[in-house]
Amino acid sequence: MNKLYLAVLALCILLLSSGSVRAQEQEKPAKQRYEISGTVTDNHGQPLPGATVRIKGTMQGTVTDTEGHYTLRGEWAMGDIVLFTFIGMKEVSMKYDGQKTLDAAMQQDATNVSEVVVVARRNINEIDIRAKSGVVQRVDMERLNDKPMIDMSLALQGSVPGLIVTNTGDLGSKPQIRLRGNSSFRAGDTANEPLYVMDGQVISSEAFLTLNPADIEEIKVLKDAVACALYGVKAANGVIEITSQRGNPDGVLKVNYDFSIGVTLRGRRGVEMMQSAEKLELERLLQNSSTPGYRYSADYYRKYYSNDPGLEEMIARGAEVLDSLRGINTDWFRELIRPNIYQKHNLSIRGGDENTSYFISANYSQQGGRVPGNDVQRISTRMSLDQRLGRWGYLSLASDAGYSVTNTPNGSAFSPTDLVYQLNPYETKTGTLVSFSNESSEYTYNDLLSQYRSKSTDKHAGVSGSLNLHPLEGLDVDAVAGVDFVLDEGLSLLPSTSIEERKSGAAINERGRLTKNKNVTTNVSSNIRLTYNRVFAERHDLTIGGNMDYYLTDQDNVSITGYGVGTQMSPAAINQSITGNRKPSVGSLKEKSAQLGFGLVFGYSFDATYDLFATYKADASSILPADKRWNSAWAVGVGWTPSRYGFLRDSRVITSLNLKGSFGKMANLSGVSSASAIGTFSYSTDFYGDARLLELQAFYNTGLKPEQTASIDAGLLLELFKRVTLGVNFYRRETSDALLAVPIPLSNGFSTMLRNIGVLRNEGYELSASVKAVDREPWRLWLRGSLAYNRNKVVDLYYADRIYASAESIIPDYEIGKAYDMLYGLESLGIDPISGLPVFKGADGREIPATETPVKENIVALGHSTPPYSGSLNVSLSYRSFDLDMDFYYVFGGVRPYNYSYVRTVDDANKNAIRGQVGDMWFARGDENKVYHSPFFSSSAIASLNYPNTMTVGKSDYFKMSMLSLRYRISSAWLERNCGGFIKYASMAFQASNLFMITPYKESDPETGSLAGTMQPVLTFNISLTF
Amino acid sequence: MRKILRYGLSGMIAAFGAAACNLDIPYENQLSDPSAITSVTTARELLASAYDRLPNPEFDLSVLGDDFETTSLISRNSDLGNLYKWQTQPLTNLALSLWQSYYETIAIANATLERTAKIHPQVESEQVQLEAVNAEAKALKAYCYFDLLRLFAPDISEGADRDGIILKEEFELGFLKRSSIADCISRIRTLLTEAVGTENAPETAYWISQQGVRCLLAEVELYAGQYEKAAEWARLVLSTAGGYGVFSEANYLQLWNGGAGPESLFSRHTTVPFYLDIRYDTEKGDFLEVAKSLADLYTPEDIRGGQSVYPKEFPGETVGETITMRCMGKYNRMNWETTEITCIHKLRTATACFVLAEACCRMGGHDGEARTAIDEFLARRGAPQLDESLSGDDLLRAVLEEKRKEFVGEGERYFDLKRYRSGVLADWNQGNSNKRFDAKDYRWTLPIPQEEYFYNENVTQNDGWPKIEN
Repeated sequence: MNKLYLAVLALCILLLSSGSVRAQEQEKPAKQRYEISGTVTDNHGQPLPGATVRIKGTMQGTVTDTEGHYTLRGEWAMGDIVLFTFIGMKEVSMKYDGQKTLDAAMQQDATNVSEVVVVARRNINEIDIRAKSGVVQRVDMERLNDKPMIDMSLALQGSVPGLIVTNTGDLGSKPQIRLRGNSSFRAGDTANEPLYVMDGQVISSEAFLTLNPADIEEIKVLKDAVACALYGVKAANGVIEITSQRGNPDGVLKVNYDFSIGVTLRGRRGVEMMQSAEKLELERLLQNSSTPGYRYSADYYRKYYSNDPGLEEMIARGAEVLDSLRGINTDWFRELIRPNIYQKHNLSIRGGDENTSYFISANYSQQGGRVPGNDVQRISTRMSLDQRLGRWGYLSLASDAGYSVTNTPNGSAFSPTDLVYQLNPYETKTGTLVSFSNESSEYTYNDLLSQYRSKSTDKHAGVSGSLNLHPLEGLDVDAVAGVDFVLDEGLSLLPSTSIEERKSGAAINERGRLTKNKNVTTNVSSNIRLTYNRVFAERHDLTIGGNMDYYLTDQDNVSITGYGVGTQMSPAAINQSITGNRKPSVGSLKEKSAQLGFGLVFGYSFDATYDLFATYKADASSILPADKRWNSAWAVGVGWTPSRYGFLRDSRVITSLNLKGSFGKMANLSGVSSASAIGTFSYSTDFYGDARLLELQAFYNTGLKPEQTASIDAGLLLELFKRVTLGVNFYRRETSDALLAVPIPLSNGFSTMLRNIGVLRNEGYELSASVKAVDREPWRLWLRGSLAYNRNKVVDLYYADRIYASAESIIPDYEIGKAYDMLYGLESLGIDPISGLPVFKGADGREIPATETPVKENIVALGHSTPPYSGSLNVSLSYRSFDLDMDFYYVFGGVRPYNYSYVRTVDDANKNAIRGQVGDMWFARGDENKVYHSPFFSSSAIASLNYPNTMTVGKSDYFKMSMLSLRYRISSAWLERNCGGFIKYASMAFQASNLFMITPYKESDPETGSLAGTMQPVLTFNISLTF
Repeated sequence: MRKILRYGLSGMIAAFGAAACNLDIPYENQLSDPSAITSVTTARELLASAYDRLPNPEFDLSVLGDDFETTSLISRNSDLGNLYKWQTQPLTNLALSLWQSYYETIAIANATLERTAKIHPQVESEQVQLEAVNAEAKALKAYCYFDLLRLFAPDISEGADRDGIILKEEFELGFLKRSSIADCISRIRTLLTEAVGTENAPETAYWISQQGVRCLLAEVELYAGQYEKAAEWARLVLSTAGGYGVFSEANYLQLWNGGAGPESLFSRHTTVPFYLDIRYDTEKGDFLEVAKSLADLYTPEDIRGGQSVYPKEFPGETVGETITMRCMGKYNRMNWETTEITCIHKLRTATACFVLAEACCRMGGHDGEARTAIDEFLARRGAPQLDESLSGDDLLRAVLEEKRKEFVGEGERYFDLKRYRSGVLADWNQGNSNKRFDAKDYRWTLPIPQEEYFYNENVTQNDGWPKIEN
């Protein structure tokens, strides 16, 4: 507490003293007639047509032509600000000092920042010098906005090398986002996902998920310790910094309406299933008499009616039945997987003058999923107001709100996407189903529908206020405080009419399960930062600063589960009279944690050639007991720009060269709750006698320490001929005292305990290159590509050489010297033509039959379950007013087991099977070179078949076209003529996402590994109008 | 004006800062050390969660013993059938679940004891309640140790210096060795002796009373071969209960009709279904029924027969045929009759009676007292008296047979079989082809679960059971 008061006091003193030193206001020079011209380019040096050039605070302005040129004539004064604005780009303002030409590079690099008057800094940890030695990468927001996808986080896939976004299921499910891999042994999002910071305020990953890309001006991805250390203990997994759109301080009201409408397509077929003829033949071979293929076959009659005089007649009649079935070929993929609708509307208003500016936007978007009943809808609004406080600085207020609904019918044993792979081609929507005859002989297609419904909504609201003060030359005082609030609610119904409930044996008035849960996540952030920047002798650029921040996260969860609701999706319908194991139950969890930190930064840059940056952060977390609360994070980074040297300055080959390196140490406590560190008790809903049960939550570890992550980074950025840019980054992160819930002897009374168990390493590199391939009027072609590689290894385990998650497993989950995302299994030598079962290769070279229980020695590494390589390719082509953009995303180097749920054996012969199974499966002695083992064994009975083997895993590599956009910009001259200047800027585009995927993976989707979850293609038509 | 603005701004910044000061965050529905268990009420509630973790091995142990015979439905439940035949897989599974639950109970009892040591109530009545909590925590631990010892260690007669069980005395991560049987007995005795000094007569049978502790002491001493002491504790239990009058018909019926009553010394509370594993379904009946040899022993006047055996008719395999099953009574009858089971009897006054009789038999020269104890008891159950000519081993055998009749389905018999398998009960499995194991069979001790020895190098496995290394 004392530390805190000292910090506050220091701030106050600084503020009070600063005012008196303030220089007097200068006289404003008189206005004159001037003319300036120039070219506006984007961040890649490409001309930017349609950009607005304006004298700040006046109505004088113009728009750049197709070559990005502009000429502005009018009356203004020396020292006035010339503003360059373009939708989706960072505003640039420059002081007019009588220049004849004034070129602007939108969203330009921080190295030229000295010429730019930064209006208001929103992310207050965004210190420019940080970027000179640390790895801070921008997401191209323009491309992100071009991708017709409702999930912004999924749209981020491929945007920055090393930012790995993985789709996890059907539309609306939360993707997995990782920066440079996992830095913890612990699986799951809470321990491994990056920190999300919007305008200086921490937001939850759920809130990030529902943000509207159109409201975002900039997303920065912070990867290394130098960049992240300012955020302290929360930022060990990297930071994603989001800056929202703000008002227009140029006095002009700008209204933009952006509209997309389109269709979503079916996408890839997971697995090609059999047609009727093959399926019936398979049934005959599998000899399950509940299937028509066997029941009406000659084999069946000969076996059971061999002496019947009417045998031949029976066979003939059976053949007729089979013939009629062969005539039916229902494509259940087309029946159940449907095209759907995508639409998006975005209206934004920006305006203001140099004292007050505002931004208001509203957005509605909707995307339909692949199966009926699966869709996502989002509404979001955002408002912000920036008020200039005289010469002091700015006061900003922002609020945003969002509402998002996700519906899905997938979730029970009979989810519609599964049915695609179960229903037989000879079955129709009417009539009883052979494929579900084991459930009931009466079931028809209608019985399989409406098995499950789930609706989840996210309501999100945030308010933040920030002050950016500039009380003294070189001194900035920034403060931000805000609350971000997400209420997510889930409602799921297993109706009484569903098969699962009908078969449960429960009384009719007890059928129908309803679960409702509400989860409120509140993030409170406040951060005060003092930064002093001064340039001495024109070459020494010095920055020092300090900050104090406080983040509080509160999770409040309530859930109810009840039965007897019938088909009504409402908690009010729960039958309260039920006792026993179907009685209504209530669960609740409330967890609150806070973190207080003090930080120091120091930056020094000499002649823009040598950069040095150091930061120290001390954090205290409420999760740990008072005596062990404080942890520190520190980082040092250096940057070197040899291209600033005289001999390179005028080089036409190497036009820019920058090297940087950094080292830092950070603590990580993400995903750890206080119950792991200290005896924590909570009441359960059960009772004993007349007493409530006060349950001890976990086997606490009083010696628990935070994970310590040390990271080393080295990077190089090279620009050749002003056309080719190459970037390389190497990193190594070593996490010591890594935490894991490890099994402990049962005699301790608990089965696991969170312990600091070892050291793991995560290393890799990221390459990026961009080439301006063609740059001749009217053609422009730009190519960009990136590749990221990541690998991990267990360096040390403190208590044992191996850790097994369960006592039964023969494969360790973590082993010293081994990667921890490795998939282990057996090496298959193929299917034995005699037994029909696979034969495995033993470590001693012996052939091991499948019936032998596998031993550790014979287990081999099959490959990485997380693909180590990922990257993207982008093509931008423009011709006159047409722009064509294409994005490709690829991953490779990983494997994924096939789940083979669609390979049928005798027991499930009544369900449809993968095309080709008749030819690929072993049926009789002598069948050689088969893929699937004998159908007459149950794989659960043979232990070795429960392990993946070299034949049952496939490479999960894929290459997909994630975005295609063809835009036509309507010329401003045409608009001027035909729309009377009412519409200032207009463009039309055809946009598509996830158009195709190339993969060697034979089954379903290599990304999610599930039959349900491939990302659907979306084709849209977009119009963007600016008034 | 400018000054005001300046002060205002600094004030605002200070206000931002003021928000950022608290790291001692109280939980709304969670309590954390050291402020969690600070009152007798919270200590009691924590102990309640220890009671709640106590396993219920009654059914499984009865399956292992000779209380049941299989019905034709047993083929539909191979796991249960294999447990009945003592196959290693179901025995291993049973061992795991029991080992885990008993040690969970012990851990919470330890956690309670460690925290109650820091509670110092000012009020006299709270002091009394706190002592009761402490006594019960110790008794509960002793109860678990005793069951673990009888299940996971060889019988004491096979060598008191052989490996017993792990004595887990502190709530902290431990990789402990198994203590010898003698040390285990001595630890259990210490715990119970400490607990028995506390006067404790809870209102309900859900908590271990002082009487319960005495009864447990009697059982432990009997097991340890201290017959004098066992008889002494048993006599004290009976006299405190008001003599044999406690075994009235009303009190007995209460036990098997949803209550606990005076005959119960400790019945754990339950909110989850119990004894349903015996049932296949309501249409076809149970997997197991009461052994014919046992069911035939009840005379028509014996009130125990009506409660213990529950004959029920079910349709047979062919149309029109009906089968009468000698369904297990007691909890199973309550399930059939949809009487809610809220308590599972762990310690009964009848135990004291049988401990007394058995101890007297074993002491030698006290056959008279043994016979009197059983006869007094049987008279109240409406059963015929013991044959007066019985003495020595024959008397002991008769006592154990009466005990079997009294405790059928409650798992008690398994422990008696284990103790006397090479003695007076050597021919227990005659005539049951599914249970042909001799007294030397390794399966008389359950295996130490893999989940223990896999992570604890110091623990030894019982003879005959595998210890899979990795």
